[in-house]
Amino acid sequence: MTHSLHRQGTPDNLSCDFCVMCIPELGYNHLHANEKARRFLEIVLKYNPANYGVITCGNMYTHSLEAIKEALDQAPALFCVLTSEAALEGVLREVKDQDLGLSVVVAALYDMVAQICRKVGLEPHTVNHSLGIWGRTDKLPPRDILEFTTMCGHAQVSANLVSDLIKQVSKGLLTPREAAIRMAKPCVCGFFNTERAERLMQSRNS
Amino acid sequence: MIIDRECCIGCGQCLPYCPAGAISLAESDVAVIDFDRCVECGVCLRMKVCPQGAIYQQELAWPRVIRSHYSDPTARHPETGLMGRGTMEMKSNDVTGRYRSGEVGFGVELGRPGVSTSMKDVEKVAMALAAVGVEWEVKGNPTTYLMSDRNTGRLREDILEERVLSAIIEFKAPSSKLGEILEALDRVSRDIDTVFSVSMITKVEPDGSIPNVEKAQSMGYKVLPNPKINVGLGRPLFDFTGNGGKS
Repeated sequence: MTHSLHRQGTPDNLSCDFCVMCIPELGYNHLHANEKARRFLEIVLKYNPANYGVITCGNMYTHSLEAIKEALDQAPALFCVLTSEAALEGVLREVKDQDLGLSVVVAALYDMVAQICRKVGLEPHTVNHSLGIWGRTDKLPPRDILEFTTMCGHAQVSANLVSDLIKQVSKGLLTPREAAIRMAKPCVCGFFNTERAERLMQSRNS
Repeated sequence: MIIDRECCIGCGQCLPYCPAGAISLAESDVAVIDFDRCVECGVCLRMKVCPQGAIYQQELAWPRVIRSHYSDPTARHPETGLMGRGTMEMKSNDVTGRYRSGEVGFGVELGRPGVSTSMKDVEKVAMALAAVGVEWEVKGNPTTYLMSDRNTGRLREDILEERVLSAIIEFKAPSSKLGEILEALDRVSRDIDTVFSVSMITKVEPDGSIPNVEKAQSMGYKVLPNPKINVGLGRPLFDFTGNGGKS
């Protein structure tokens, strides 16, 4: 599961993209992890996430909040996307205060996260950097399409679907918001950032 | 995955959803799935896009079932018990101590993003890395379980014809081997028919420095500015400064 890494984009359009996960490790801190993950979800909900989900169930655009809460009993790891530094700061502060004890991982621009960590009294512990895409890069879709598809690290959002929905937006058949939500649905874990997708489509049309 | 030709009305609504581009409209105006290209990710079925309910999951036997294990994030890898791509890598490093100072961890994900990969190409990359001498992640990575010889990186023969959306090769080594590993990846990247995404794991030093990143950059490798960051909230914290025991 490196599904929040390798997101393509510019520093500008990645500045509203903060993937956050709260996850137990079997044999270390898995006991009562479902209850802790639910408390994490309650915190996240206060900060207007663009998306959240549980891998066994689906995301907020395919499943109800109750279904997602229930799914945490089977897979006590919650994934979400926040869209502002203030939201990330708020979530990290509350999780730290509540001392949930599960590992928390943020995928976002490092400088922004490090600064927020300092404000909250945390320090980056371990980092996983992307060294990009190697090999037959001629097989990849265009870079502007990759900015959408790589928001689902499990590659469930196809380049053809993104292209199709962008065309529908340009024809006025869908709003950018409607298209962003349709793109998000195949991404079961909930890391697809609908707000960023909407902004990317708006910037294409402007 | 299979589409029932008798039920399909050829509306084409399922076509754009396939991450592997395996669905097309046949001459007879029904949708068909290219069985070789299909990676059994389940997206077409899960999205319920077919108005006729013509898409169905056939029984997946060995070795084809590994397509589902690696491509459908809701499928659980039997070896690790995990879903997604089946690994924990650094997400819980604050409690496990899997990656330490002076080490570099790697996740080399064949087929990502969205290109898919044959297991033959996974084997090529694993063998190139084995020649350098790396320490595979054994317990927590499903690809290591598929190796028939961990010394050479060779995979078991009966899975080599399978195709998956992506598969992660995961390992660590002393940081002194960083250059050698990246050079090996560079060489083998010219000998495969897919892409791979490279991730590099580093324990942050007490002074805030990230030595492997500095070293990779000094060797001319591009490092993306948006990594995954474990912020150290897991408990009990692993004691990185002591004798290796848990704090």
